[in-house]
Amino acid sequence: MWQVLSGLFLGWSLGSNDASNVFGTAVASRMVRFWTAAVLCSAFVILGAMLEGDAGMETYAQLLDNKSSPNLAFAVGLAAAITVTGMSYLALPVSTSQAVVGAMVLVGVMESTLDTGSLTKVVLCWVGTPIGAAGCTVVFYFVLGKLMNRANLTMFTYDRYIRWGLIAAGSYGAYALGANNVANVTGPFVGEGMLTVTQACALGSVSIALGVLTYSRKVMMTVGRDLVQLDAFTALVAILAEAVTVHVYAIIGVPVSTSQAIVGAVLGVGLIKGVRTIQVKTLAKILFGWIGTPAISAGITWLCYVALGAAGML
Amino acid sequence: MFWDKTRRVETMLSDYFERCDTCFEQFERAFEMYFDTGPNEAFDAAVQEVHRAEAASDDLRREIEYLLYGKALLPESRGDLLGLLETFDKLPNIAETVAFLFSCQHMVLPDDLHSAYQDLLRVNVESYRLARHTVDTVMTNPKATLHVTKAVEHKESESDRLERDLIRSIYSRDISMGDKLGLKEAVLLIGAISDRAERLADRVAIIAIKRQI
Repeated sequence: MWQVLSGLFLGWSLGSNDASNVFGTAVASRMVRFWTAAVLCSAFVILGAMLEGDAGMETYAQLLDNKSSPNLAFAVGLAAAITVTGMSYLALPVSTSQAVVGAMVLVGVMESTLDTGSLTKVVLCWVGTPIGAAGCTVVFYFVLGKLMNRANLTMFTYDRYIRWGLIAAGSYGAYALGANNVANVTGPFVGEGMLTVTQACALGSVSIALGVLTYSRKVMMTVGRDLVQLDAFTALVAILAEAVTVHVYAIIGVPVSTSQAIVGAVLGVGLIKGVRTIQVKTLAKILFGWIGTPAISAGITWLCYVALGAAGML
Repeated sequence: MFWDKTRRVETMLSDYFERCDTCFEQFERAFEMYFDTGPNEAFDAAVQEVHRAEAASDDLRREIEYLLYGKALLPESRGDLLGLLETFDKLPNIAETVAFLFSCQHMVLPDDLHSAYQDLLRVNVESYRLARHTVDTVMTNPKATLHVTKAVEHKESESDRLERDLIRSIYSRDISMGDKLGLKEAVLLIGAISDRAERLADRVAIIAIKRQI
């Protein structure tokens, strides 16, 4: 059972990194206080994982044809956790899903248990995530914009609506995060029969919540402040688009990256407002994080694999 | 909760505008007195009332600004309100300056220019009232704001015309250059009320347009 610890470590690092994707824009622009965001995010992550977190577990169970060992599941969790924590330290929002899948693919290749069909499904969904989020942003921007214009809101009413909207959209985003990403944390252990789905959802979501509460502030500031200068309304639209996209993939059962979803959503804002609002340097840093994440994760997994082999634990 | 701060800002802002209204009421009263009896002690006392009302509005403005700097409202609303306050504050300030100019310099206007100065003062106080109405409108019915701001522009143009006529009339007189400059300064300062009212209306229009998505 000790192998589950690496999953909990990964959950903590996921929480510290991915909370930025649901509340980062609001917190960095000081529309919502950090602690309000952190507490709401933690509660809704747990709720989402417990109510809808089971679908993604199945996908990960299929990815390695259910043939890996508990020690390899430990290696996958540990490698992904180290990768994501490192990226969090550098204040880069990265994809936990890509870290986990990078690690699992390495294990699959070494053990010849990789199910390419499941891998293709996962990778296709990754590609669809930012595109879908950008599309949702464009639609929500015009629909919500029209509604707000029609409502003829005064400055103070507008202020209240946007702030409530940010809190509601952020909470929904956290729910979607929990539902979609809990599989990244404890999914590999369900495949090994070490945890039931309910246990995996509970343990995974609590570890994510701890990550949100203890170490998420830094990445939140990067996502919100550095990527694009969002005003209150576009921040609301971006978070809502990201939440809907991630929730859709949670229902389909494919763990996707909330980081890719929010970047796609913010790019959607950039397309509406003109590309000059996008800070290319930060975008490049994030893109580097995306490419580096699965590669680094796979590299660390390989080291773990060699070490486990040398210790006779494979 | 943060809603309490928002409500406080709303209430304080409403009080601030009322204090500015009081300042302009005192300003009007002082000049009614001036045109009735000339620059005497009663007029000086009325000018002191203008000053007191202006100081009271300043105190409240500072309190609102501190509250806003303390993270009340969304950042963009905060910025808009701070800008609005800064621009609005220039109106009671200039009213006070005009009142002190007449009081400190014991300014005596040529009799035949009384009605022209009275007209100029009336138009400029009206431009304040219209600008004040644009602020009310943006706080209650933003869509109507742009329509209301047009009226301020018209009033400012009317004031400009009156100022030019008055200055022409002043410089066609056989009085010393010092007197001419003194009278012209009064014209320009009174006219500055409508200039500042127009600037306020422009800022209000921007606030309304920014919230159109």
